[in-house]
Amino acid sequence: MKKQIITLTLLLSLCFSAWAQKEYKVAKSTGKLHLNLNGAVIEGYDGNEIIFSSQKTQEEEDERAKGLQAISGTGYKDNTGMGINVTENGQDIHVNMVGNRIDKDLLKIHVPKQFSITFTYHKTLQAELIVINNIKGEIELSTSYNKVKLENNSGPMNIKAIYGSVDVAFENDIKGPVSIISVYDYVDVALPASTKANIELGTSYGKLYAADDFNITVTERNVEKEEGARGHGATAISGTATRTADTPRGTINGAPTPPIAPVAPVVEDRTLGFVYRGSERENIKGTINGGGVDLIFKSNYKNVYLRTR
Amino acid sequence: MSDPIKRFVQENREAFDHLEPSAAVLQRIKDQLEHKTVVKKGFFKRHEKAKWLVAASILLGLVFTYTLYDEGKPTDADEPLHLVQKAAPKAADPEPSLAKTTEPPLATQDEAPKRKKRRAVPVYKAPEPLPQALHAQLVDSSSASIRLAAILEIERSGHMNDEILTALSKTIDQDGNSNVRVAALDVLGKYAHEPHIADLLIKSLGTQDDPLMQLSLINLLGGVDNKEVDETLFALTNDPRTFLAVKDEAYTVLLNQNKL
Repeated sequence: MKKQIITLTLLLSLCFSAWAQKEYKVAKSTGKLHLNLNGAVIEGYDGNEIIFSSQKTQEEEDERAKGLQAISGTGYKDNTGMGINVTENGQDIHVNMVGNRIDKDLLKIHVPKQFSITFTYHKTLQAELIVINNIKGEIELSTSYNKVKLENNSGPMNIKAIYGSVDVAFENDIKGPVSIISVYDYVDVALPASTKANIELGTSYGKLYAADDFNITVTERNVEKEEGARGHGATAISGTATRTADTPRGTINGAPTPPIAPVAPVVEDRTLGFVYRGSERENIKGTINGGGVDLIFKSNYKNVYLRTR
Repeated sequence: MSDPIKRFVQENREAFDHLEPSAAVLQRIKDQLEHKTVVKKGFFKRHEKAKWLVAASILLGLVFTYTLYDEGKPTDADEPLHLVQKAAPKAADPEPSLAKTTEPPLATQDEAPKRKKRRAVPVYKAPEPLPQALHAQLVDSSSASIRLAAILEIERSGHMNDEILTALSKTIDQDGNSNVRVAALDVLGKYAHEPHIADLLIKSLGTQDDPLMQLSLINLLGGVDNKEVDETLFALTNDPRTFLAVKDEAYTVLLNQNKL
């Protein structure tokens, strides 16, 4: 029995020693964090340091690379030992990947919660999940292939994802404006039912879903029904054209005209004409709980979900 | 006793101590002493006419300064204009008392001409203060959210003029944030029936490289039967760098208009 316990203890200690967590700290309580990474988990916390941490097994350590430094065609050098370059420039902290990060675990970054975050990644390969939680500063995110999850961030925020989905859950302290757009995947937003907001939902080829609890008061609806090749009525730009879409139109030096109800094609003396095409675009503008912060949620090809939290 | 002359005098005192200097020597010494006192005389004692020259210079300086100051004052011919300009702000300003209260209570007389000069400058009447403030926010490079908030405010206000249109058109072409550009396009799209806005959007379709903006512009301009739009759409479909969704959207538009 004694031998078994000793053997087990030895095995466990070997296992724990094989996992080594690397850390890199930057003392900074406020500022802007510019991230150009394939993915990361970013957590806001009450602290004065930005802490980068990465789980790395000893098997992943390259014995041949000992004594050498990772370099990249981008010009960045790994100054953290985690395959990233961290540079401080006044109030801005820039974080860039050096070469290809091959860690199985996502890079974890603990950030003072008042920090603003700018996340940009548009490469095709190795696009991982981006998670941002508990940040009270401004968030700007622009990505092509990453999936995005945001939780308990106050905003304001501007999120753009091309292929990835965006899941967002807000707490009560929302600061606008919030704009979240995904081209190819869904946008799923959870809001407290008591949120006061001016809201805009839009999709070109998907559907809009909202919880009944919100009771959205629609102020502007733009459903562009497009039925196919009906462009014969349109004429050249220099002459008379046909306008059939019910896009709300504004006037210069005056208030915008109210939305125009769908009507039969009307010949107008305009230089431009709008004709039907083969999809149904939906765009809804309205208020929930009387209006408040500005919220914009759009997806071109997939659905937009608005649910209570 | 290091001085050799002093030592010599002390050692040979008896040889010349009984001698008396001649009267001429004494007189010469006295003359030299008197000459030294003349050197110590003050400037005005040495130059009797200098004080008159200084007084004349001061007088000339005063006259010159007075002449310059007199030229700086408004002439009689200017006075009626000054009164008119002074009266204009009172008529235009709905709260003249507010302007008075903002003045320092212990204003000195020296400050009065300065205020007069400020009022003489034509007062910019700001009939549309909202766009001015929003315009500043619209070009705020520090925060995309501030720019987005400005665009949403413009949209909400329904206020539009050429300056805002120009600013929004710059935003859709130059802003660094896609969400801001899309929001600006949403606002400009409402004015797409204006020919110059339409031209601007068509040009923008040819220059945009952000797929989100390209899709939004194709959605907006896709129904327009215009040669330049068609050419741009064909160019997008033939460009290998064009985003797949943008190509699909461009193909859809061209197909629906029987132009493929």
